[in-house]
Amino acid sequence: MSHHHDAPLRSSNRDLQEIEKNMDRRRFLTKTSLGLGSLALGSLMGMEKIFAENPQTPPLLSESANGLAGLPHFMPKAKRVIYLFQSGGPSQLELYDYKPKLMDLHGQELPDSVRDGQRLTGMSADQSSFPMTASAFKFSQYGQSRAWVSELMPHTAEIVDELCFIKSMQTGQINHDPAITFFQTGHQLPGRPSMGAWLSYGLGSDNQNLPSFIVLVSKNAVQDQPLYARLWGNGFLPSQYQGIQFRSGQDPVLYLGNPENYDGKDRREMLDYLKSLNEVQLDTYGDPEISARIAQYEMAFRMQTSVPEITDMSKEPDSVYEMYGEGSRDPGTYAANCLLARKLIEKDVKFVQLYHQGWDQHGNLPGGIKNQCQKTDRATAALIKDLKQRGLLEDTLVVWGGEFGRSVYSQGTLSPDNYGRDHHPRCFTKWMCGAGVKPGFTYGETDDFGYNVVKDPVHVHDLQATILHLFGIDHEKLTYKHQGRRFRLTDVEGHVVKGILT
Amino acid sequence: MIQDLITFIGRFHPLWVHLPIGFLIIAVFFKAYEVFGKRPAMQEAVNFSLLLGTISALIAAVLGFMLSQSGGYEDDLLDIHLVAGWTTVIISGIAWWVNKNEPRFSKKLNYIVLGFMILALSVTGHFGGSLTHGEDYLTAFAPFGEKQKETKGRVLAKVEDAEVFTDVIQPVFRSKCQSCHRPGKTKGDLNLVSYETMLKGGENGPVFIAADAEKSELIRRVTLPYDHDDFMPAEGKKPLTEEEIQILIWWIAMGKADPKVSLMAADEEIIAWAKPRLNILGGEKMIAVSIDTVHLKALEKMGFRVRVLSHESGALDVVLPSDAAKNQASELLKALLPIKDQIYWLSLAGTGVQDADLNQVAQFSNLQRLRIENNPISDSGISSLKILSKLESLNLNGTKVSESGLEALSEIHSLKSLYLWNTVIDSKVAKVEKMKAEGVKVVFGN
Repeated sequence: MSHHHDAPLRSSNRDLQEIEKNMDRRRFLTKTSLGLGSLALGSLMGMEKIFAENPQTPPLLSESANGLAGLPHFMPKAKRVIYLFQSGGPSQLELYDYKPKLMDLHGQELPDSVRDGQRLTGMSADQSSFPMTASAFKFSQYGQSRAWVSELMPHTAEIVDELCFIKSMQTGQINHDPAITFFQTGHQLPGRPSMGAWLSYGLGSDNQNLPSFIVLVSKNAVQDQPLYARLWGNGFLPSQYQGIQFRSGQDPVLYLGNPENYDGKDRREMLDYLKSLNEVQLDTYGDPEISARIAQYEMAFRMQTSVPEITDMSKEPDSVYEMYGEGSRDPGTYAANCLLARKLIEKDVKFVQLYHQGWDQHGNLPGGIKNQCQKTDRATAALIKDLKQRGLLEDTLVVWGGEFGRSVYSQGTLSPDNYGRDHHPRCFTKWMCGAGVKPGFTYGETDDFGYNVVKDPVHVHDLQATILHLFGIDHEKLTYKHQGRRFRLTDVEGHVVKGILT
Repeated sequence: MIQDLITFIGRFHPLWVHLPIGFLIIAVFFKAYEVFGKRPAMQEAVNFSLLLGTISALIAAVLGFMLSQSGGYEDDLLDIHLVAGWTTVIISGIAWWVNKNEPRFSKKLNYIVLGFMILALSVTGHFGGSLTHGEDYLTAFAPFGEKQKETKGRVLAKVEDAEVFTDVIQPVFRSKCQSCHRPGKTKGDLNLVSYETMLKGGENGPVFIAADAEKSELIRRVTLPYDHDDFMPAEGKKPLTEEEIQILIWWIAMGKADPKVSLMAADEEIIAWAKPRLNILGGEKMIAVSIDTVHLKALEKMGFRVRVLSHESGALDVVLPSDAAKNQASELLKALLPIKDQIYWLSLAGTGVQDADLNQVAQFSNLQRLRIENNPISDSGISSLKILSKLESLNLNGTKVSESGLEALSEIHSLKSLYLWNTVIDSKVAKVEKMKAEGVKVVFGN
């Protein structure tokens, strides 16, 4: 064991040598004083990395940038994804899932045979009546694909031939937080890595100067249901894979700018010193979180120049702002975030996650949803058109949708001009667009009540498996060992929805 | 480099492991000789053997750990083998310690520790063997075991001769059903050894109803939840894969359970899945192109971003970011020549590439997606691309391409999408209309 003592010091810096020496004596004492019996034990301690979370030695920055060896498992279709998460549960009945029969049934009680013992939320379970409610908005067919879209989404209606609607989405969750957590992490309880973290862990980064997973939250939304940073967290994956939120306003990323009265000239030198200090620790303990920390400092340093560059909108011509709508001039709005998402995708950021809250219309649905659509419809459609003309839809996937749908019965009283809808996990609509999915296509069907799926159900895990599939990943093979078990995004389920693939 | 060295050293593990096995077992024999043969002097020899065994086991464990880093082993088996291996190291160390200080301890303890040591050694060895030779290696030919199944079907001259039942379904039955449903073991009175015996059905009636997959018992059984009593294969045996079930459903529903229906009649997807599983005479083997990581690293140093698209075909996605090009694009492109047939996707957007450079790009024979937008490229350069017979997507946004350049592009029959935003070409011209009519998606601005 004495070789620890004689080992040459790694660093040429005297301060660091001092630290290494201290460490060495301490280690020498703990490991040798117990005699030969501790030899085996000592080597076992060294083995902790095998039994613990991370069987690999922590990757160096340049290696982690390229993702895991052996990935992708097969030829991918997509390189990047923009996930337009409509948080709150947008009503499929008012937007895309046209149910003309409901006009005849309007006001009638929902038959028990349709509800079939479905549990309801505490918000409407006590209602004495469940009157079926037709949409207050008109539907028409658009494009060559003749897709039905309501009058609330006039701009999206123009791009239906690019979209692949999934009308048969299903989830097991009935309330916001577990449902969103389920969608983003594959499990209803917090603690698992988010989809973006899995993708950056598996595939690495395509741009060394920007994080591979970036999150944008609309500032111009009704923030009735909260979002948590863990929805874009790394869970048990090393922390450099977590999503980075770009905020609206002066400081898109907090603490990135230099402090006042500091010109930053010796920043590089300071970071180099800090890095070698951290490497001494990494060498001693082998904790992957230390290498994550090193990687994050380096990333932050490069972001000091790359982030102001990417968030600088002054070079975009007026025509672009007209396309995305006037809101796009105001950083932090949904429209501005859509525009920023396109810019990030152009720079090969792998996963751009938008959140727009406020789709939770328990009451006053007609007014509320109209407001939501006005804020998002134009920019969403503009984003698709913009990606298309730039040729980016070839290898970019766009996903639109919320965590669940809304009930066919009215929550609260159904009046001639007003109604509400409760959460509904049994069917809702999402759409995907771009790399590898069929354009101008509708998958899955719901019954005439808009209550149950009658054809080709797609579960949350199925959607996740499909997204990973488009990136060339077999969702059953991208795993991470944690607490003695291998975890994956799709838990123990998930089937790739082959019917929507090109 | 380091990783390669670790793998190299690690590969001595299978060789080395036999040393501790020998040392530790001979120690037990020496011990037996010492006790039963009343040869107390043997104690020294036992000691020495145990010491050698412990040290060599420790080395074996370290080598094994290095080998495991190269990956490719079944995780669950690897875990057991690894824990068992380290347990062996520890117990043999304890055995040595106990034996050396025997007067201090009871003899009984000595024997117990040696017993556990042999047990740990056996478990380690067994799972190590399972890792390299496969889990059924030991039992496959045992008199009590199930006989090894020939999973490949009969030898065929060509793919067109393949029959769905005989050449695809029968091998599945052989590997997954016939251990119970065969002559001599006919569980549930069902024998799946041939089409005729299957037609007879089992104690629950017919196995399938031709043209009605949903009502067929066979399909119902294999698609039930795993924990259902009726689920087949029973007793936790390996279930059918999704593809295997798909082909059964197709055969019953679309093939009307005809034993002679040709594989060529099936869906493209099914054919694609079944093809590599057929036993075709002199069938072509997939030639994997190796990926030269050293060269890729050098390219990355030059500013390229290179990503592997498929480890099987060696396909690569190469991007030259505009800020990395620094007006040196034509020089940099030369570095791509050694991997020219591996480049499937290429982006040179905004890098300043010129017409002359496209001659080089035209040599990338497997190119499927090409982005050369926002470059000073004109028709003469573009015409050199017409030999790219696999090109599916071409981005010419913001280039100087004109109508006459489209002429050359119409010779690329594989082309599916063409981007012409910010060019002088009018979206209404006849040549564009013609390309659209031929199924090319031509995209202009909005």
